[in-house]
Amino acid sequence: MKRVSLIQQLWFLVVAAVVLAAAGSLAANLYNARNYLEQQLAAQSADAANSLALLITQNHADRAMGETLINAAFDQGHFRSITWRDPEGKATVQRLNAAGFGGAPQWFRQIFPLTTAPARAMVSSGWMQAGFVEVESEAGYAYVSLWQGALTVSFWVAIAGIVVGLIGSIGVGTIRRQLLAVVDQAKAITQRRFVTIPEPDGPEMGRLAQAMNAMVTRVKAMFEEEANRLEEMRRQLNFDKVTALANRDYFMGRLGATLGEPDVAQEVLVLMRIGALAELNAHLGRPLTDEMLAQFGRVLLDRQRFGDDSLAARMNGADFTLLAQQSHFDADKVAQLHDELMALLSSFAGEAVVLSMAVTELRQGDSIRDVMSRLDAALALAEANGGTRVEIAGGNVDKPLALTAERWGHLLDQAVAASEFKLVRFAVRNAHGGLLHEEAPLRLKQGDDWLPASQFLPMAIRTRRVAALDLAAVGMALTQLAADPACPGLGVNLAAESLDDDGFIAQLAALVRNQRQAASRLWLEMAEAGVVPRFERFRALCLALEELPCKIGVEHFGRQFSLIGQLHDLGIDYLKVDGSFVPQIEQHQGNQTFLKGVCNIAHNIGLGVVAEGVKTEQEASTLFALGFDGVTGPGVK
Amino acid sequence: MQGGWRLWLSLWLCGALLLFAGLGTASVTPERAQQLYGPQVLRIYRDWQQLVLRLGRESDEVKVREVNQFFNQRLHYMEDIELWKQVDYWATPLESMSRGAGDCEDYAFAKYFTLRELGVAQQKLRMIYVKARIGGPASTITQAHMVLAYYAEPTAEPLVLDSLISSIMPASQRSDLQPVFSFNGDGIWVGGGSAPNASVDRLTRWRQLIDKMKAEGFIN
Repeated sequence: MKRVSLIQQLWFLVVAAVVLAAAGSLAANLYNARNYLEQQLAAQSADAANSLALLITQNHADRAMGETLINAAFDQGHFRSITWRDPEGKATVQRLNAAGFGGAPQWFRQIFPLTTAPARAMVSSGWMQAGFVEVESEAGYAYVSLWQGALTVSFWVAIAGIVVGLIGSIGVGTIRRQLLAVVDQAKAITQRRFVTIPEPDGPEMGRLAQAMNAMVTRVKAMFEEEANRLEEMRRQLNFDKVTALANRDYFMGRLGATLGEPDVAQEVLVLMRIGALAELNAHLGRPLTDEMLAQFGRVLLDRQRFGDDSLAARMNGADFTLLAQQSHFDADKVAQLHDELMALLSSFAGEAVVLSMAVTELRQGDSIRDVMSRLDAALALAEANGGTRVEIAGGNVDKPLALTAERWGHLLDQAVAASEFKLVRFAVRNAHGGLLHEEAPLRLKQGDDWLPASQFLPMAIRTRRVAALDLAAVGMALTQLAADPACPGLGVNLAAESLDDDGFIAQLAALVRNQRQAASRLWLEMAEAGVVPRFERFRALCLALEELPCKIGVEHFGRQFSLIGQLHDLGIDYLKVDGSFVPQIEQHQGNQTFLKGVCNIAHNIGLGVVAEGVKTEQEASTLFALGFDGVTGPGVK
Repeated sequence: MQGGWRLWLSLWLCGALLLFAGLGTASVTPERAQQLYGPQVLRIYRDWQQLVLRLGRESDEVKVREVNQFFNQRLHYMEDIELWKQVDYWATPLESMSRGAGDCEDYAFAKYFTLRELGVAQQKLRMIYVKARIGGPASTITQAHMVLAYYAEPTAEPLVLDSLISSIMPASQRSDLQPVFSFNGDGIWVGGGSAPNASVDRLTRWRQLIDKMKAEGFIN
């Protein structure tokens, strides 16, 4: 049996109350009216009978006179019948109006019968009995009156019922709205979005909402406290106090992770050295030197200038590095940066200061050692030159597709139209070696080659075709999932820049909705660095996919770490922690504590946690011991 | 459904009739009468009870004669305005017995209800409004008056039970009385129609008298 909802019960109560009140007042009204009419009819009959009997008696009960009197009374009056009976009860004179008087429906007469008992009065002729007169009033007009009354009362009762029903439905509607708000909040909490709602006016609903809000607020406070603690720990472990730049350990981890990624992005690495910093320190004094270094660091931290994913680090006292996307950073811009930093240093230390700078591109297959030795050599050259120009290490690597933006746009459009893509797969495994899902980055067909995302994605972003590429990748993943029920899941990497496209969220939701079955094994992820500047758009994406079975996650989590304080608002399903923390994690006590904290906080709000960039067995087992649900990277096959 | 309703109504009516039939002997106890109207009522009431007991098995003619004689002897005639300080007051038999007095209607009612108590059929009795000539055949002084008439048969000449004249006479010998209108306890209503008309019925004086007697317990 279907259970009746509270709203239905309230509705039922309102309807029942209105119907009962209406029916009750109608019935009471009709019964009163009927009673009154019956009495009026009876009194009329009795008075007429007595008057006639008196008149006939006064005329010595003369038959002709009696008949005349009865005729006169009957013809002018409102009677059904008048009968003069002799003492034995035989009718002497009888007038009967058999036709009756219509106006009220027959069924109404049957439901509300008017009983009109005839009235009787004695007739005498002198001392002798002369029988009696029986009078019965005509009930027809009383029926008409009763019927009209019933119609009028029904009309007003119906109007009153409608008014009461409307008022009731407004009340029920209000309760329903308030209930739904609380229900939505509860649902959001189960989906790990800790939101507060405005408290309704009614005391019951108000208290409920207040209690829920208080709980949410407490959870948020706990969460924020924990997040702040973790953020502080990360800062201490991985950042330089003076410049707020990353430290050497962190930078090396990140560089290793970047080089270990399946698609090495087109990135450049800049190495900078401030000459004779120790002498400068002695000359300027420590506070002024620190201020100079802090300002130096602030220039390098400008993510708008170097890209969302850029990383600047202080390697040791005088050495600084900057990892940036090539699309943001060509040779002119490097030279510009050199001049700007020189000006900054000169303003503190005068013209004597030397800033040597070398730059190189990261290439597929590079190891950290390759990159660093290349840069060191170039830097030595720059130092030898007195730091006057930026040395470029290794020269330009061969760029297979040095095409114009227009050409790229055409190429990408063609590829989307002809579906000239494929997905390659990389395993994400759990602690038992089982397959959690497979990461499936996109490859673009170019002649006989398959280009990795790092080569076409920057151009796709610049030509505003990235959303179309992402949708194509999701569509392809859904098709493959539908065709392969054994596949535990496919992870598709969405570019955060797609969020800048206004139609993207709706199109993505529609795409997923059309393949509900397969979508339960679809994992969609975006990089933290891209999500943070587009936080509201990302929230809209999460809300749009909330009711759909696919999973949503954040990858490269921890590079910037501004997101952890807001995770509880989003309703996402998993995190992929950036590979920067992973290299030699088994020996790094500080990062172990930090990652353990991240796992705890994520698990507390129901998120799964995966580590990226895992290269060795030791790293993997340490990470699982810290609480990670899965690992991926070059060491995971 | 409606048939069932009718069945119940008829059963109820039968029960009511049975109750009414058993009522003849059960009347007001002397204690109740004393409680209502003081000890002076017992002077006449005890004798009345004995009269009723004594006449139980007699013929209607004897009952009529004895009852007429009883009230004409034990009550003395007094106008309402003197007795009840009202222009026209219909007293119950018990009230009349408590005062030992009454006017013409009170005599007629006392006799009527006593005869009914003794089992005389309702159709044989009528209260009759008459115009009475006072002071001999040549007199022109007349007044409104009421007598009780007894009809041995419906078509027979009635006997007149009067408060002014102690003996019973056939109507033909009462040239001083001119009958105007008559009624009896049949009620105004015919055929058990009393229930729906109860409230308007109470407006009639006859019904008010009946109700007062019911309150006394004199009749049910």
